[in-house]
Amino acid sequence: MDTLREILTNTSHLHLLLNHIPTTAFLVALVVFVVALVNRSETLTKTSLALFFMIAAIAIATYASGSAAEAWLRGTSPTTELPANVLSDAIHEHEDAALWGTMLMALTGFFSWLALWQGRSVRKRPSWTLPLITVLSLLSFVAMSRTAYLGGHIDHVEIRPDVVARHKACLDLVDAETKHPGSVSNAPANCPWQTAVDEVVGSQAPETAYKSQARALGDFVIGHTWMWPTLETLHFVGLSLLFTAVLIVNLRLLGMMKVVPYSAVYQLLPIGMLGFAINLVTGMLFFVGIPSQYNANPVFYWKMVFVLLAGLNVTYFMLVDDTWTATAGVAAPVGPRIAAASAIFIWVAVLYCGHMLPFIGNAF
Amino acid sequence: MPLWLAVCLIVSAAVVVTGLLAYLIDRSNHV
Repeated sequence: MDTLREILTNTSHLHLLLNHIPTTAFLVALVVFVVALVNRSETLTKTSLALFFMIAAIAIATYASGSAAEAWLRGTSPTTELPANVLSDAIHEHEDAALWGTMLMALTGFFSWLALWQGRSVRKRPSWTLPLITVLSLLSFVAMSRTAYLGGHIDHVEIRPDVVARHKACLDLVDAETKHPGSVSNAPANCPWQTAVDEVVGSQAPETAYKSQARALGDFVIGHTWMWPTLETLHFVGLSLLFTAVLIVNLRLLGMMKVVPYSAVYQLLPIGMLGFAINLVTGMLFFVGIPSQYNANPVFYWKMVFVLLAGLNVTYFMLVDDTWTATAGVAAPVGPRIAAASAIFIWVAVLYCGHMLPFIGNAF
Repeated sequence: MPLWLAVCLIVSAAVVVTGLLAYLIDRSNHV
């Protein structure tokens, strides 16, 4: 029980747990998607689109937990010495790849959701949607695989190309001296990995050190006085769009405005999703601006949990047919009613956690 | 440019873009 508690509350553990999902689970979704396209199966198409959408939501939490994992290594000061085998550049390269990978995956998630929504809208799904998702999902997979590859370099010095090159140079020297080429079993003894790491670090002039794009973006956010108030205002615009759509759709399912059929309020859902998209972009910019406000903040952790639950909740509405029985004047069945009540609770929780970041947590 | 004007202009531009996207999504759904 203590181990489970440690895993769920230590954000480093959480990152190691989550970081396999945007690559491995996404590959599974991609295979299902390709099979669906080849076989023209609507059921498999919907399954893969729902998977894309959920994995995109998890990718956001993965990105946030990664920043927390970095903070766990470095402490609060960026100058704190890292463990001997961890290179600062490796973390930054991974972080930059993750930022682009997460954004691409979020875009894939947005259009996957839109395609699911179009599957039940008035007209047939437009012909451009699935080709666009094919391109976006392939790009996302490449970007996330690269992120995973670079992430491996953080703790596995033995696969870093620059360290491997140094190590190999040392082994060649040993081979030349001992005339016993390829004595792999002696490799770590004769040429310790740490020596290769030290050489790589030692040979790095400060000006050639990797320039973090995420940090440059973060510096842009906090370096311009107009940025933060603009982002805050837009975050509120997004929140208003999102919460309005959430309330209208879910209150109808709970029994209000029964004269309005569910098929009518369903048309409002993309407005809610556009609101979420605004808040994802502005939220990510807040996060890269001052990560320390969020990655050690328990309320932010809960906000991410509720965002994931909200993703699961909206997927329910995309996949389940029960809601469609709520025609004009007809009450919704019990399943959709529970989902609707959950949706309102979950989104209020997201709003509450967001608002309480500075008051319960340590933001600002 | 004063801060209030910069924020107003950027927020308005972003709202217009969002409105346009909402319009296009809705139009793709008209019979």
